[in-house]
Formats: sequence, structure tokens, C-alpha cells
Amino acid sequence: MMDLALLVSLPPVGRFFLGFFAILFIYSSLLLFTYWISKEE
Amino acid sequence: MPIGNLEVPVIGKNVVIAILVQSHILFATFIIGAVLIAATSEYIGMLTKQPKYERFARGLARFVVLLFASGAALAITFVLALVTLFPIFFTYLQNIFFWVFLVEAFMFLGQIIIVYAWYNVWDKLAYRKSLHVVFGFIAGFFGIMAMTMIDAVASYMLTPAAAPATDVGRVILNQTFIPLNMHRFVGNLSYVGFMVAGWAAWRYLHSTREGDREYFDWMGHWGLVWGFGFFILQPVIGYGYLKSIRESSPEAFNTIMMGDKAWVFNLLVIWLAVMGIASTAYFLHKLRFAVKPMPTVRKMTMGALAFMALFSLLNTIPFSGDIAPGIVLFGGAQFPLGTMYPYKYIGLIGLMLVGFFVLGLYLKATASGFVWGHASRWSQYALMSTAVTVVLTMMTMGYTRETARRVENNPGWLIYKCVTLDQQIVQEGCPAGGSIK
Repeated sequence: MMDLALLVSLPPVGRFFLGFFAILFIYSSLLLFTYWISKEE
Repeated sequence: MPIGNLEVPVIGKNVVIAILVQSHILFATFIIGAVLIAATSEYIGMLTKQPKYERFARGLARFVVLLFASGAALAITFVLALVTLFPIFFTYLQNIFFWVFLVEAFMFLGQIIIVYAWYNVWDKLAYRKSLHVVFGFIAGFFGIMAMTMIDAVASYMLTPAAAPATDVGRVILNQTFIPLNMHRFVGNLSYVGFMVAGWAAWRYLHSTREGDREYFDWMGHWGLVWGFGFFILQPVIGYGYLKSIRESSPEAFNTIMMGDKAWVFNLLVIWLAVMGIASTAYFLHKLRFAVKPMPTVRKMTMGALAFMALFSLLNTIPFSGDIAPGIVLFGGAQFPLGTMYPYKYIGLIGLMLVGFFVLGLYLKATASGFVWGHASRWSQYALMSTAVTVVLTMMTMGYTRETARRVENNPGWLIYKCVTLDQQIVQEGCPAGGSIK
């Protein structure tokens, strides 16, 4: 937790990339989930 | 009962909203663009009697229906987070945008009903294809209208109209509303095109049946025509949008173009370079498989690739070694060819002109047809790289626009010059005067 706190205490680049990767994670997870439920076999 | 002021530990509440909104936008824009592209493809399939268009449209519609759940869930989570973390600001928004939110809600409802109906009656309306295509376009229309309503809110937050907040017409038609809406409309189609191309490339590389390889090879081409075709419109539309920001909110413009946030634009042009070069390289490769050999067109495309790389490189040269806060190279010295005027204008206009030129050549070759199913692996990697970078582009652009209101965080605005980040009303200097209260 401390490392994370250090990362986000480096505005704006640190916070930007934190958000960036969080969005990528949510987006790709949900896309993969949708792909999985759409597979017919 | 007083409204509590909740704080989110470590990351802060602004980042929570940013993450939820941007994730939602990636789904919502995909759905809007995909419905329009699928409906158009279905229509082309109806006219040309080529089954691949029908297969493509139906597959994309099915994916949209399944994707809707994720997009809608993120939207609801975002609204819940906004009400919880920014309750006072949400109250102001609700007052200013009552009619906009009302229309937005019904457009969203209409979109859900028609998208699901469109997909579910595919077989039932097989012999009334025109009617079915109309279903698709109506679903697309509802999606565009929903986006338009949200654009009214988003643009007002950056460039509030110099009129009372009760003047619904002026509030909606604020200074950056139309440029933003155009930018996003074109962007939706380009985004989905690149995503389709990337997906097709992945499926192509994993297909073993000849029929599937031919289909996914064609699908990659079809996606890229949409993606690149609308991509090359963006520099001029984006310039118009930035110009309208500069005219209405010059400090916000300076923040994103020359201030602490200028580095995000450097990041953006790197993504544009990847998309431009990868797409042109794909076109060049594909011309090898033209049914009617076109050596001259291929040579001209090769030259266009060189120019595309040159203009892209010009765009990526930063203004100085002071790349981003905390990242300084070469002692922060100014770089040659790094200034906006004239070099970045040359780079962006050049990119666009070369883009039109190469797309024209490629479409000329498309008219006589290609042999499908023999594309190389690297051409498919090029398609996949465009899909990845278009997502990164949208994220970078979203951050850029939202961060424009920060203006050195002194104080930082939710509605530019009217409502501060800590939800305080400022009447002095607010374009809406004392009407927001």
C-alpha cells in the first residue's frame, strides 16, 4: 500500500498511469468475458 | 441532513470517476460505432448479395448485444459514484441539464429496445431485409442521440455558454458542442473499424479452415477501411475542436498544449504514428494480392508509406527536452522542428493528405478485388497494433480533455470558471454569471 501511495504521490504522471492501467484492466477483462460468453462451443 | 464529503483513500475520488467514465466510454462508443457499421454492412450485403457482409453484420450485432451489459453496468456504477462522491456538483448538473438528461435517458432506452429487437428479428425479417436494415439504423440513431446529449454536458463543463444556465438552447449549443460531437462521431466509427480489423487479424491467425481464413482476411480489410478512412478526417476535426477551446477557454487550451499537460499530446501523436504507418504498411502488403496486378499503384503506395513515416516522425518531435513533469532530457533544451507552428501543422496536414492519397489508391485496387486468405502474419500484426493503439488514443484523448479544466490546479474546475473541483460555486468570471446557484 505504501508503494502505491508513493506512486500516486507523483502527480500527474504517476496518477495518469495508475488510471491508465486500471482502465485497460477493466476494459480488457470485460471484453474477454464477453468473448468467452459469446463462444458457441 | 447534511451531505457528507467522502474521500477515496490513496487514489482520490477524481481518479475513481475517471476510471469508471473512461471504461464506460470505451464500451459505449464501441456499441454506437458498431451498430452503424453493422447496419451499413448489412445494407451493402443486401445490395450486393455477398454473404460475407451479412455474416459480418450479424456477428457484430451479436457481439454488441452481449457487450451492452458491460457498458450499461459501468454507466450505472459511474452515476452511482458521481452521486456519492460529488453530490453537490451532481445537483447543479441535474438543474442545468434536466432536459438533456431526460432526453438522454429515453434515447438510451430506445437504443436498448431497438438493438435487441434488431438482433432478435434477424431471421424473422429475412424476407423483409429493408425493414430489418432500418431497425439497425434506428438503433444507430438512438445511440448517436444519446452520445449527443452527453456531449452537451461534457462540452459545457469545459466551455460554459455566456448565457444564463436556464437558457437550454445556449447551454446545449455551447462553443465546443458541435466540434466535440463531430470529433466523437467520426472517432466512434474509426475506433470500431480498427477494433474490428484487430479482431479479424487475431481470428485469421488462429483459423485453419480455408473459408474462415478468407473471411477473416476480408474482415480485417473491411475494418481497416472504416478505421483508417475516418481516422484521416480526425486531424482537421480535432484541430477545429482545439481551435474552439482556444477561443472560449484560452487558459484551458494553454494547459493542454503548452502547460504541464502538453506531454499527453506527445503521447497522442505517437499513437497516431503507429496507426498511420501500420495501416499504410498493411495497404501496401495487400496490394500484392490484387486480382488485377497494379505495379504503379503499389510503387506510389510505397512512396506514400515513406511520407507517412516522415510526417509521423515530424509530429512526434517534442517541443523541448522537458518532456513531462519530472522527465527532463538534454537539459530541457528546445528541439529543432519541435514547435507547433509550422512543423506540427505540416506534420498533421501531411499525414492527412498522404492518408487520403493512399486510401484512394487502395480503394481503386479494392474495386477490382483481392485474393483473400493469403495475407502474411506481419500484416495481421499491423492490424492488431492499430486496435491496441486506437484504445490508447481514446484514453489519452479523454484524459487530455478532462484535464484541460485543471489549469495548474489553481483551483481546477468541474465546470470551467463556475464550479471548482471541491464543488464550490464561483460567480465572478463564470460565463453563466450568477445563474448557477
